[in-house]
Amino acid sequence: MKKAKLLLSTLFVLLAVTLSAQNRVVSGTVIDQYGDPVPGAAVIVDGTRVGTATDLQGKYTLNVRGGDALRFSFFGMRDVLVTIGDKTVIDVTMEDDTIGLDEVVVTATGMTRQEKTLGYASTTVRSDEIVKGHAADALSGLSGKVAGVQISSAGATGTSQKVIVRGYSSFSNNAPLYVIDGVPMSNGTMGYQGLNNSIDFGNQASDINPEDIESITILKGASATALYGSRAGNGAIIITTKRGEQNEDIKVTYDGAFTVSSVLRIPNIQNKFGQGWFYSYDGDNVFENYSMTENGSWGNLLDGRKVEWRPGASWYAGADPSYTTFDYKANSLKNFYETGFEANNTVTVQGGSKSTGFVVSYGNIYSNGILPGNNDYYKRHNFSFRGNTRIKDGLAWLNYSINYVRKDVRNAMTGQGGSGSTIYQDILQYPVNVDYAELKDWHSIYNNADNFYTPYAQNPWWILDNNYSTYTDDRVYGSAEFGLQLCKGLQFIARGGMDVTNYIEKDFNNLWTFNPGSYAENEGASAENGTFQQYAVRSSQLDGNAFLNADYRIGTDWSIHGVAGVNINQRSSSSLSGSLDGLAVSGWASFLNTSGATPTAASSTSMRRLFGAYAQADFGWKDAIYLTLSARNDWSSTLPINANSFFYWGANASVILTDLFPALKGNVLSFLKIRGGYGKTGNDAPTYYTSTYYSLASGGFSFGSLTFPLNSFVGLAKSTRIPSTDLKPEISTEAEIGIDARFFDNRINIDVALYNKTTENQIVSATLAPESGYSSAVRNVGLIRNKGIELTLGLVPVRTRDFEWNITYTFSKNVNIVEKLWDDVTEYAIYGLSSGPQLKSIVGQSIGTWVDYKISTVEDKTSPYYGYTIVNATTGLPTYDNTTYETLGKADADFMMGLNNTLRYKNWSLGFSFDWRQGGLMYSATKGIVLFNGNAEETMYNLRDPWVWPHSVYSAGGTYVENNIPVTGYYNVNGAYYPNYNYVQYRTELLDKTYIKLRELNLSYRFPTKWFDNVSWLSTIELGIVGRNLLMWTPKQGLIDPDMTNYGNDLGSQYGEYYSAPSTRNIGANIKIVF
Amino acid sequence: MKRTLIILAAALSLFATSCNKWLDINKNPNYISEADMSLLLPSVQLRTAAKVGYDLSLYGTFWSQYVVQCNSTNQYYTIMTNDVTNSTFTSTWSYVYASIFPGIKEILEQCEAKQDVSNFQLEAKAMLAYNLYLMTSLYDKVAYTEGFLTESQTPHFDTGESIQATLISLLEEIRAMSATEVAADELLNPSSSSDMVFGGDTDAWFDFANTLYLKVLMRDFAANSGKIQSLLNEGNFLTEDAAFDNFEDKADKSNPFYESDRRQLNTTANIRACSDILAVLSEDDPRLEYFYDQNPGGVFAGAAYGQNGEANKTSRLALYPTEAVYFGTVDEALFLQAEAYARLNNADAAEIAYDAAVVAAFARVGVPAAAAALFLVDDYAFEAGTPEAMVEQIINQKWASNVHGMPWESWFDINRTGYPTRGKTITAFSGVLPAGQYPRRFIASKTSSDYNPNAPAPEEVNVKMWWQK
Repeated sequence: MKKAKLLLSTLFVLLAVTLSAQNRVVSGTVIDQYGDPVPGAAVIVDGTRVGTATDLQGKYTLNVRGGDALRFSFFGMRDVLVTIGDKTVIDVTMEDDTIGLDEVVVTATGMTRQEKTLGYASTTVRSDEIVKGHAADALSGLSGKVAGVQISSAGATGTSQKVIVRGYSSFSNNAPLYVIDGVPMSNGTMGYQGLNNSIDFGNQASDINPEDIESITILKGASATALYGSRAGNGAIIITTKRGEQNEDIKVTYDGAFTVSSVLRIPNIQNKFGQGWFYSYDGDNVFENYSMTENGSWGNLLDGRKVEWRPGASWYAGADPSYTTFDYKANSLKNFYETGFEANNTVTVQGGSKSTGFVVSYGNIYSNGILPGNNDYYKRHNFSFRGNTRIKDGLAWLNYSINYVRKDVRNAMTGQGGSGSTIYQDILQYPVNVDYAELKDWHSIYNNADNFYTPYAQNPWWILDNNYSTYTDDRVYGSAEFGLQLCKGLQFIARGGMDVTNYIEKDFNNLWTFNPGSYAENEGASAENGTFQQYAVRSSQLDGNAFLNADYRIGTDWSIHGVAGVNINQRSSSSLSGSLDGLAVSGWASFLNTSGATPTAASSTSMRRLFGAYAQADFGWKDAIYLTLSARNDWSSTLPINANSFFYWGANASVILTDLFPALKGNVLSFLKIRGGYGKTGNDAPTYYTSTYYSLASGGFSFGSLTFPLNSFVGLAKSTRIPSTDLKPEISTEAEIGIDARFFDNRINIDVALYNKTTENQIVSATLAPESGYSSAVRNVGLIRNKGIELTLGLVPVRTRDFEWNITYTFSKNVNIVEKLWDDVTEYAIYGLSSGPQLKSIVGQSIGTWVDYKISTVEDKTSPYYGYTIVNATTGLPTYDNTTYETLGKADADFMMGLNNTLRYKNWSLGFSFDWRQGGLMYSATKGIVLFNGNAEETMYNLRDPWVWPHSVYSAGGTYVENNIPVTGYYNVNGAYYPNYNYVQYRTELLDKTYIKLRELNLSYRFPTKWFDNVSWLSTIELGIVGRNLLMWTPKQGLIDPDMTNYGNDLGSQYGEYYSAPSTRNIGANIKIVF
Repeated sequence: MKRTLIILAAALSLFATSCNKWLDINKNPNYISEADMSLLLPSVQLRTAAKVGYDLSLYGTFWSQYVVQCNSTNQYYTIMTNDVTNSTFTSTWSYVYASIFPGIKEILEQCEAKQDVSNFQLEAKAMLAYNLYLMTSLYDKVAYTEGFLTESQTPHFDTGESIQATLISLLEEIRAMSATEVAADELLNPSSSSDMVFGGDTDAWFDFANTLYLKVLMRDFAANSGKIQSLLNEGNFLTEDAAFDNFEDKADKSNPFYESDRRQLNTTANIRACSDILAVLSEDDPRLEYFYDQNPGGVFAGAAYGQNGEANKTSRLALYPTEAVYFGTVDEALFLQAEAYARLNNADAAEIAYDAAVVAAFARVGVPAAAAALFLVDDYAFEAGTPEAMVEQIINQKWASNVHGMPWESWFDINRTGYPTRGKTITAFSGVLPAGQYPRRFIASKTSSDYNPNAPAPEEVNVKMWWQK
């Protein structure tokens, strides 16, 4: 981008400068903070009109007479003033003006605009900020840095990334549209996200190599994205790649980073009670609750005595007995994880001939995660070629790019084990006196399948080596653009893009079998027959745009810019998959490895098309008032064929008061703009919602199912969803106003945006009561309002030649209200298990509202027990009303804040950023399991002596009697913590998501350029260390990272985590060399 | 100018047409858009078998007190202790309503529009009656008038008593069908490759309907004694089991109870024998070996109901991957006749039916009639007495025969007749319910109370239904 401004500045300089006779020669080089030369920078004797411009190597020579200082200026960078004195060489380093006025942003058409002219909120982040954290993807470095945008990651490298702009507004799709160099990019979420054996292979937008990116612009409001029509209802992420310029010397850049990672959060667990399940308190030291088979800690108080454990080997296989001390093994869980690492390399070659500029880059990432061994890795190769050619001196031009991405990933499944145990579920189920390190050798006679200490789980070390998912893809995406200057101010541009991915996913759960007569068999362990699934998927997106682009100035006051064009888009996918349940041979992932079952095959294809026509006009008056009008009509294949046309529009305006009334401008106020916009965008329907179909029937039950073909019979069944024949796209209507004020020569910078967005005609599969004969109906429903405030505050407390401190603070608060659902319906279920808290959309409340059955209390105000919990007269545990829900809270955060600091001292740069998210509730199965198995700290209450549920009564003969039944009176003490027995515990599995994270800390040092003056092949070396997710503070819970989820990256992920992978803390070093 | 406009309009409409053609691709290419009744019937039967074979077998096995929960696991502890909620029974409800009934309805609609398919009509109606019978036996109030017959998304429910009337008229409709016409249609449009229960044996379907009819009428014996008497005189009851006998010992292809509890669950130790069975059966009864696995000591051993059976001391419930799921059995048909004769105070006829029932019950689990005969002259010998005493004896023996078979029917019988009597013949255990209270029904599904404003307020699990004692 910077270099794109070269021409402009040079022109400016030439106009401004009058050459006159000078008597002294000063020369030097102007470089930017990365050591790159700054060509075209203006070098002017301050206070005069004497000056020149730097050449392509950033060098200048100037005859100086009179004047005290040289002023160096360049578009998008901060001016530098240097006293001349008697110097003859003046080298200058110029810095990007991070909060500059003349920031250039990319708009919906892919055209650039000066930010100050925009009537809507947009945030542009430049390459240095994007790559600072040296993460494998481009967006995670922006967490907390962009007001109004929530960015979080499900876990380790390669897992899916959630980007939500201005709150959830849709039940089905809240992801923004990603656009690279004017072409939409596929953003499928790979793997399977859900309850059983889920596996997260990330979303495709993360595939792009961050080093290839020049800038990312986030368009938030509807008036900014209306031109994208039915695909940009949730904002747009506009990515601009680095570009080679004509006549540019070849430059080679190497970026390398090496990062180590460790598990960020190990759940806090109790350290008082050991292995066992049926703890019965007897007040003395009788050691009778110890059980060698249990995978929970409901046994005796840990007293350090020597106990036999893992008895299978000695009882059934003739080995020596195995002993351990009955005490808390402090690092047991921690010992399970190892230090992961990630190596990240990119080589970029950039240059240009007379007519063509190009960039070629190759990047690779090898990441080995925190699970032991080579069981979780992420390998990625990125090849990119991008070029541009000017034809006939710019009368026509070509832009073209082609990228190839290859990924090889292996990871452990998360969620609840279905067809094979999952690691995170099983490692939490252990007695605290067991040390995982001792179970590591799963071949050992003490730890193998025959003799694993508990019959209720598999050895996690074995699971890790034997149950896994792998993912391999080949992705090619690219674009070609042809532009033609039709006449002065009028261009024709045709742009085509394609994005094709082929991937293969394999899910393998190995055989877990034991010998007849073994410990495992005698204790009732269940064998696993082994499963194998493979999916081969091809997905593609083709996109074409043709438009006219007009740019005119009328007189001195008016400017007009117009765009009109058409767009076609086609997205398709096809998959072939197979599934085998029942393996013959251990460790062989193949459909040939069947113990008798016939592998089942499935295939699926889908295709959607979209045609759009659009136009936009910008008017500018006196470079102070701007008005933009845009309109688009879409025809979508996923809507009913006779009603598939939809119209969107947007309008926005901005007034730069400091330019309109120059008197306002002074030492205090440097810039003031007010802006406002109003617009509509949409979300079209998923495919095949408009007709019904029949598929092979099956019958399901608790674990497993009964499927056709069966005994040579085959049967079909109609889909239980009612299709819609009058489906409309979701429409968001948004109004926003904003103010952008800068003070003290941009030292203080405030940007505030207020928005109010309503989204209606949500496309849902609305749940129906089964007695309707269906399970759901496709329909347009609802009206959801998101309103909020976004604040960005920039501060430069110190700015000297050598030292500068930049602070950016962001704050966003979004209030989400469901105003209407449909008919008289006031609730819509987002997600929930059959028992316990449900995540619902409720009219009058947030789109993600937590509800659960009301716990019964005495409601008679005249009763002496008013407000007391009513318990079951047999069990002494709270009862509940299964016809009434009560609201427990919402999933959304109350507010989010980010605090980012950059300190630069000479060649040193230090950056750190905090991210604070306040409030919101999530479900945590981790919490559920540690409550269930007695590892939760709460279960130490009263040292597990009997106690009576506080403030409770039971009903006897129509009157309330104060409860005197100890919780252990009916169930064992564990019953009080097990929600199946004590329903009230379900709600304790909802955790407060509040956290403050030290997201990023980086320190870098750039070797002074003068060191390389005599080395022609080397121009810059920069070294850095970086930390990501270094610290996390969660005031309300000590179990998990609240960003963890195995439910993907859309609304469903607000549910929380069901044995998700933990997130990681990363520390690394990096180097950048420019040749 | 006008001409230009016309050309422009023509070009535009041509463009619009071809554009719409380009966009007309929203038919799901992965599935089929129509299905014939011959492909719908197997789905209805398979899904019925999945629900009956798992949900009803599981609750029936516990609530008839054949088994207890194992002490070292806890998968079904809440069932044994009657600690259930309205989300416990959602699956049964939604399968029958959203999957089974719509399939039946579609078959019946196709039958209306087609000639010579009365055989399919018979089979579909019999499946309808059977599912409706199960639903009202489990949930009492169910949505039929609006829920099945009309397309309401929020149907009102019918009372249990009115469903009883519906069932009677439905079964009478079936009985009124011409057996010869049905048999002829079976030749024209065979259902043999669709009917997973009787393989297209239409006479067996009439027998099934008659047996179900008898069972339904017995819910209100006094009111229906005339119909019962003439039904007994006709004598056309099941002579072969209405068995869904299509299982293979493979994942997703086996008996649902086995598939879930033994193949898929992470422990196989949950379900232990309850000692109550010995209150009726002799310790020497060869069927015990079929009903339960031996305990480590090599003999049958069970725990009293409500106790957790110790894993290494009690027998485990035997489950078999290819064991049939029964919608009706010969022994049940005979026990029903025996009970009816006993209530009519015809001790001789009752005894004949009873003896035949016990023999059939032995036969169903692979024990020869000779073995049964030994017990019939000894431990299980029929004793004539008051009608009530005879009924008790018949139902007790029927209960004991049903450990494998139709355990949910035993639970219905306990609730209908009071036999075997808790606290006298078998253990009295109320779990979390007030003392002396027992499970009487499934609690109405949460999905109804959540999404259907016209659904009645759910009743607790221990609230009696109209036909219960």
